[in-house]
Amino acid sequence: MEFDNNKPIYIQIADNICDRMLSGEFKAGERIPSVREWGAAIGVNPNTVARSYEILSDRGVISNQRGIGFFMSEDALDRIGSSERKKFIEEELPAFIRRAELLGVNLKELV
Amino acid sequence: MNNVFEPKRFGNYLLHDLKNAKDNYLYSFIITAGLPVLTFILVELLGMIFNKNHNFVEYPLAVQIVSVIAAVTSAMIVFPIKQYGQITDKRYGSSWVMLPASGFEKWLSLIIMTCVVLPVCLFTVYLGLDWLMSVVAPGLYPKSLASYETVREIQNALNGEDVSFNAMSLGWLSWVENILTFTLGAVFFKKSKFPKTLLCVMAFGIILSFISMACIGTGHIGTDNVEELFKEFSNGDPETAMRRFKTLVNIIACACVAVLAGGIYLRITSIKH
Amino acid sequence: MVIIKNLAFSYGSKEVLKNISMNLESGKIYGLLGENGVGKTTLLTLLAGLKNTQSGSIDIDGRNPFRREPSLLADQYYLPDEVSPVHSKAIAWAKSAGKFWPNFSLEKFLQIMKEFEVDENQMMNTMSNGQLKKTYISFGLACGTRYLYMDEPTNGLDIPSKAQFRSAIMKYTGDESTIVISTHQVRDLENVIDPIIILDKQDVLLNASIEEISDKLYFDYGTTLNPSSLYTEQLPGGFIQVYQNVEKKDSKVNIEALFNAVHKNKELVKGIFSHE
Repeated sequence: MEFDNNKPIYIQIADNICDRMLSGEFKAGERIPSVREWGAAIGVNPNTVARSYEILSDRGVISNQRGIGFFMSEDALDRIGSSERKKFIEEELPAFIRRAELLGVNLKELV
Repeated sequence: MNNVFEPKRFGNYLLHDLKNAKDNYLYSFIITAGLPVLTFILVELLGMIFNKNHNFVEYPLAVQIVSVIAAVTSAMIVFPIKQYGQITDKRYGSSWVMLPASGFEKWLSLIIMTCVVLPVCLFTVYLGLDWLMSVVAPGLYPKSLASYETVREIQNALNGEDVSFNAMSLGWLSWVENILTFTLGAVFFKKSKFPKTLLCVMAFGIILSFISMACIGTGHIGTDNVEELFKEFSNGDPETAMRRFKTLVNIIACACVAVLAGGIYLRITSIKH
Repeated sequence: MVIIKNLAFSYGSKEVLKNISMNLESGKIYGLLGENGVGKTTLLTLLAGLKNTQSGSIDIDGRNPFRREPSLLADQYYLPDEVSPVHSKAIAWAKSAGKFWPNFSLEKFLQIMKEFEVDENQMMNTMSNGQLKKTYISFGLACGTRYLYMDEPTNGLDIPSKAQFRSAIMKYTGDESTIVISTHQVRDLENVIDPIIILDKQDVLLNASIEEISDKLYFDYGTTLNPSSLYTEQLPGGFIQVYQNVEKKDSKVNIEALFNAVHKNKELVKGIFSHE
């Protein structure tokens, strides 16, 4: 797994799992790999992966069923979608517009 | 878990030690125990080269005796170094120390290997081959060392007619004494294990002789008390003298063995890497 | 749990460790970092019981490792930097030695050997350095011990093996294990080691989890210089800068930059991380 330079690893892992959910690799209601399995797969300390799972649980994307493991929530895609949309509108879009203005690109013409 | 001795763990350790012996010493063992055959082939080859008629030559008794001495000596020197000398090596030694068996078990296994397993294997194979040669090449190869007459002859040569020494136990005791000396040297010195051991033994002998000379020189032991001592010791009877002498020799040998075995124990349980 | 108290060790008159105190908890993979010669190996061998403490104490679940009791030895595995090329096939050696560790699994050993692409039927004395090291790593992981000490495990491993090693460490150790890995090849084990222990001549400069480090220090990968930076390193596209995390922003810990920042500001960093 290649990591982005700036973001903390545990956030990158959480984002990556969301991407895999969006692409359909992980399916709603199904079990996702355990902390240790996922750590082994990507070569990252299980404690770090546990932190990623914690934020995913907090966001309601996955749920922990004690003794069995973590499962992708039924409404995970909606939750990811809304938070991704929020991130796009609040962070990525303003940056995009700023850059377009800086370079003198006419946004209306593009669309 | 018992931290000193557990039969099952000790059994595993002994097997592990045997496996290591096979890995470390098997080739040397084959050469050492195979000396009757190897020296026979050598003698016949040399005979064929230097003998004008190119026929088989008789295997000299002297070679037979020298070869058994060589086998015993080399086994006593080489085995401890190959099998246990490595524990002073950082790489091998640290994994040896870290193997979960107790120091006592490791020590006991070492004692059994050097004092029982090696001599039994060596003599069984050596004498077996020696006997085989005497059967296969009668007339050329001398009588087998293990044959009844030879043992008797050796015993007689050692003890004279009357007193029957137990050659086996005496031989074993001196084997134990010698191999433990070389084992202590092997686990004690990091490099040049054999020469250093030899030097130590020599130095020890010199010191002993100095002490005894000093005793005589300072008059602690004079002609008078030696005579007196001998009288007391022998009780005026040569047979008693011999018996007492044997007991004394045995006690000294046992004390030496105890000191050597103790030294090995202290060394292998406290070695640091 | 490992409790180290006021530990000191010297080779002759050369003091290597002085007044070291720390605790090592289970379920963690400690990364022991430090420049050459600061005593990383010495500390590991003391933990394993290969050396005796000269002053201070090491207590592992109430036991002193130098007593070398089988009950503790069976609970730990020490992988030295240089391993011994024994005259044996790897599988025969593993079978024979594995019996002494109650949790040893031959199946696991063979599986890890396979992942490392080392032939278990090869004589160990004919193996290359890397193959031999991988054989010992496989064995150590297959022992399933509670304590695992590894001295420079990635030394001598080729590039694919390093990734396999990272994966195997996670896959074949349990949540109860305490793992201590010493290394000066930080990049090999980035994202694996957490907490980080930075050892200096005779002293522990840092012993903190990645979470704690990112809480107290900020790693800036930007293009503008920060005047209060503790450490700055030029990269092709900008800088890595380390400064105190006053705004409590989240950032990715870069262990090399951390190491250098700590070394340049020893007392300051100790102050930042002190728990008193």
